[in-house]
Amino acid sequence: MITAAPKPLRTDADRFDNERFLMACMGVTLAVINELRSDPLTIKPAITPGAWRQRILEAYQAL
Amino acid sequence: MIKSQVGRGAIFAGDTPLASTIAVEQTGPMQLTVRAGSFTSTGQARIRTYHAAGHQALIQSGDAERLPDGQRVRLWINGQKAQTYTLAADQIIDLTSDPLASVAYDVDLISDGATTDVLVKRKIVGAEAYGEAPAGWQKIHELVFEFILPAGCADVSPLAIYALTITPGFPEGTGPDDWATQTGGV
Repeated sequence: MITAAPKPLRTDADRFDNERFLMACMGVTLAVINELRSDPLTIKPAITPGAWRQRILEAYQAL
Repeated sequence: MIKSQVGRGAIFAGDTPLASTIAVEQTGPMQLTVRAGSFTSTGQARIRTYHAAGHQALIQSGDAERLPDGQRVRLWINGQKAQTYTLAADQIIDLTSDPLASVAYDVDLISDGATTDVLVKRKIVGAEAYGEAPAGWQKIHELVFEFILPAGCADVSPLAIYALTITPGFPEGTGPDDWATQTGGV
């Protein structure tokens, strides 16, 4: 017999917030555009899909 | 009291191979026992009138089987044949209530492909969610439908606890023609 340990109920704070996500995407996009404009000739290894995702995640959590 | 009624645990197998000898009994004021037995799933099939020329080769290759009446044949869809899962030993479930809150239970039959087991899920109503089966285990069927122990419950006998029972054949007064879809086929 296997007993499944109960999980905590999801709270409002756990729910995905579309508006917050859009704000985070917009903020990161503007920041990246500014970085590119300030130094257009340097290749930015930080602007990879993974790094972009990580920045959006951090921005989302910070909002 | 353990119960079973159509819509709440009681299922007719119809023309499918669905069957179960796994019974749930109350064996103490706060104890349920799931008896060892086997469960056979429906698989997915189409049922057609038997034609020797068209079906004999499929029967020999294991992609079809004759129904007991000999007049019809069960054609498995994409190899999704019925499977039998055997629960090797009785499983004793000791129920515990909470002094202040209602507690919900739900019991599933699960399998990891090699072993069949029973998954007991318990949660405090309104404060917790059910946990899940460990990775690699899949739910085969519900065995005991969700039931709720009131706060401080010391004996589940007065509660209606609905458990799975499978009856072969069709409900009285009906037959295959009354049930167009029985095994997920079209």
